[in-house]
Amino acid sequence: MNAGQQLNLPPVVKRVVVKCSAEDAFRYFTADFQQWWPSHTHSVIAFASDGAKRPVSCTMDPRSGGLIVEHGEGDERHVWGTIVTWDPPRTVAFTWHPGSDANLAQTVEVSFAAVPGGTEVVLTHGGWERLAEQAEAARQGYDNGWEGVFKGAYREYVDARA
Amino acid sequence: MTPGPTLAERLAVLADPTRQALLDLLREKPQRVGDLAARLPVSGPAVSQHLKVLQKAQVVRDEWRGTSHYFSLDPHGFDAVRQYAEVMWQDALNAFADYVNQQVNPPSVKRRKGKKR
Repeated sequence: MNAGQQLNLPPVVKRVVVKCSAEDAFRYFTADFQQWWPSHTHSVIAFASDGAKRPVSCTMDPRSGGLIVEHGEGDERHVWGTIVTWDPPRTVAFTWHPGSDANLAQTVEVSFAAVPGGTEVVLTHGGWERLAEQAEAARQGYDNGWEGVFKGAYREYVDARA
Repeated sequence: MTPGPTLAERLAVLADPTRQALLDLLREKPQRVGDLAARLPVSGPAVSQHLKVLQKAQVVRDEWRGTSHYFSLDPHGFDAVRQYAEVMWQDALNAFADYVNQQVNPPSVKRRKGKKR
């Protein structure tokens, strides 16, 4: 049994219904990512500076293999993830590792389905076992230890309440 | 139940290199203060102090085995990460829904162009 199974962490699932077509909702979510992402609180730069600094933008390149990137001043750039499933207007999925290395990435899948009055958007953030596997790998002498998991993951989520 | 440490507190706790080294060692197995101090360039009392901080942040826990006091990683830390994700995505989806609403129903600006007199 690996550490991930021991931890047995279910995915985080969030839903929201928006009053537009699935096509529009999909486009707003992806191509317009930088328009709505709350980067003043939810970003590596905002976190690292304790809210004093803000990123210039947080963008999603709306295509398969596209990157989600936080852009700071000058050359500063933080890759948050890569789009791994691009199936408009139904599903977009991406790896997710703001503030940490790609090998600590979890996965986020966002699905769009027509419901009466609009589109239901369901976001599923899972792959926590990868954090645990990395912790296990680190225990066995690889790079990126448990503390890396925490530094990365906390940095990622810290904005939620910072 | 008292509220857990804030995210900022947890992060500050984990940002310290000695504490990171301690977590590294605790990842191997539960250990006593003396075991840890022997493997780090810090004194026993200093190790105790750091462990206290880590416990307060709920990333390390302790247990007595007979008269020996052992410290180990607290798996609840992972759960904490998950909880933060809950909050983060809730915030993000709320921001997304607000944005969609603005696109669908632009905020009504009360224009009175036609009423100029």
